Order: sequence, then structure tokens, then C-alpha cells
Amino acid sequence: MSEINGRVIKVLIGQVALTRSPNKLETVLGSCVGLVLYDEVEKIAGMAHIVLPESAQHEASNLPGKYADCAVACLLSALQEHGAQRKRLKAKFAGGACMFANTLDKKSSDIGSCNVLAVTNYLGHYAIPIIASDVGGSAGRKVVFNPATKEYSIQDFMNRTQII
Amino acid sequence: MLSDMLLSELEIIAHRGAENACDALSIFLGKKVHISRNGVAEESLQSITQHFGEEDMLGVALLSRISGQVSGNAVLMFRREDARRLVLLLGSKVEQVEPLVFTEMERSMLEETGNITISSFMNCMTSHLNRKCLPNSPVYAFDLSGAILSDLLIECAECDDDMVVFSTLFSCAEENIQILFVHLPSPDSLKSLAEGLKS
Repeated sequence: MSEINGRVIKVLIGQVALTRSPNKLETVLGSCVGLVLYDEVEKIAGMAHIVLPESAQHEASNLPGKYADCAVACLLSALQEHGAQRKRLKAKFAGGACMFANTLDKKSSDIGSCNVLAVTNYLGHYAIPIIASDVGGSAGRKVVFNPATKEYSIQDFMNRTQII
Repeated sequence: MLSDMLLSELEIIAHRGAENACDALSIFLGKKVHISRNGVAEESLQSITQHFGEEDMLGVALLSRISGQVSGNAVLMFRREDARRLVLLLGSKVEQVEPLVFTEMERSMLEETGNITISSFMNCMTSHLNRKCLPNSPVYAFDLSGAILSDLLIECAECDDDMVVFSTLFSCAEENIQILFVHLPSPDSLKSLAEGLKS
């Protein structure tokens, strides 16, 4: 986990990163989910690049954002440690595409939707409101979150951008 | 964690696979193709998604699922400009098109390139170990390279944070085309490969 000031912070697969305004958080997603929790008063945000839905039944990981259940818990505790208030935390997320439905086996091609479902469930478990999301489809996404504006920018390979 | 000895042995069979794929590509393209880089290594998930360069770099990908005793996923990736040069070399008549668009015929040419390269690599590598594999027909995608490669590794990511990666960069200098091949064997396949190396 890293907290760096003064730049766009790239959140690689399985990682969790925090930052404050005016910095931004960025990642590239296929079937993974880019979950952002933010406190708009403190202007602090955390992003997890989630790969798989559940840590149970899998080998233990050193990557705090790899599994949805661990990622949500990690983001919550790290944000609170850095001054965010739990009751002010809100969520936005994107990803969960199915890029190779006809190639990969069914289990692998369903991972995107399983990731989205798991993230939704864990946010519900911790009573964190979901403000917006952009999920599914068959294309990758480059996403950038700006804690200053709460804007989550989502760009596809054709450079089409939407803000949620 | 694989032993250094096993990794070295895997390097040897990977080199045979790469040479066979290189020969097949040379014949298919009618041009001399070289192996610019070839190796087998245990790598982190983060390292794998950056094999093609920055994660937001666009790439043309031909992805194939490998079934059989040595299962897993394999992908052939090109920069868009290289893929364009490749289809022109293979006889495409479409020279001035919207940069992002490949026609059905051109996609078919790319998929056949993927099929030949991936099959010749995998079949040579596994036949040396008396193992069998069946590469499925590759599927075309044009997208962010980080998104493509992250989907490639999902299956193996369930087992570990690090995984064994076979990676080869082919170059056709005469036509200025580079082709990246990446194979991620499933964890069960690694056991099968290791047993094949012992026998």
C-alpha cells in the first residue's frame, strides 16, 4: 500500500493505494474491478484493483487488493487511519468486463460479473453507499479518480470517456 | 517457487518451442523472422500486466486457451502499426483505413498468424516432454494491453501472486514487425511439465 503526493498514482493489479487532492488515482481494468472509496470532506480517496471475488478457498495473498473481501476491509481501515470518517465514506467502481467470453472457460469468463457482485455485497455489508458504477461489457477500461472533484473518469480503447 | 534447475530445464524446452514457432512464422510470412528475446521466469502479477509496455498501451491480441496435459492460456500481441504491416504483408489490399479498424479478412489473417505461432510453439514444447496439448483457435481483440494481459492471468492468479511465464519476442526486421508471445501454464500443467522433464 502506498500514499504518495503530487502526481497520478498508478494502482497496479492487486494493489491498494490512497491519496489526497490534488493527486489522482489511475488503473487499467479488464475483468478486474477498480473500487474507489472517498471522503469528500477530507478529500482523501483509496483505490483497490480487485482481481478475484473471495479470498476463501484460495491461497493467501500478499496483495491487499487482490480479493474483494480483503480489499474493502483494507480500504476502510487505511482511509480511517489517515483521517477519513467512516460515516462519510462513499463508493464508486468500474470494471468487471468479459473480454474473452468465447475463449476462456466459463469460470474464467464469469470472473468479471462475480467481482462486481462481490464488491456490491461487501459494500452493502459495511453500509457504504454506492454513488455510481460502470461495469460489464467486453472492453477494457482506463480509469482515473480525482478526490478533489469526486469524478471517476472512464476511458475505453477508442478514447471515449465518460465521467461517473 | 520453482527450483533454478527446473527453470533452466523449462528454458531449454521453451527455446525449442520458440525456434519451431519462429521457423513456422518465417515460412508463413515468407520473410526471415528472428527471436529477439526468449525466457521463462516466475513473475508477479504486476510484472505480467506490463509485459507489452505501459498498461494503457493499445495492442492487437490473439488469445488462445490451451487444453490437455499442458493447459493454460497463450496470447500473441502486436502494436497496431505492426499488425497493419503484417496484414499488408499477407496480402491485404486495404492500405488506407481508419487506424483502429481491421476488416474481417484482416482479422482472419491475424488469427491464422496466432494459430500458427501458438500451435507450433506449444506442440513442439510439449512433444519433447511426451505431453499433449490442444491450443484452441485464437480470438482477436484490440484493447488496452494491461486489460488483455490481466484477463490472461486470472485463472492462475487464484493459486498464487507469482506465476511462471513463457515469453518470446519475435522480430521480422525486414518488415519492422515485432510479435510478443506469452504463455501462462496452469499450476497443474507445471506439475505435468516437471514430471515430463524428469522422465
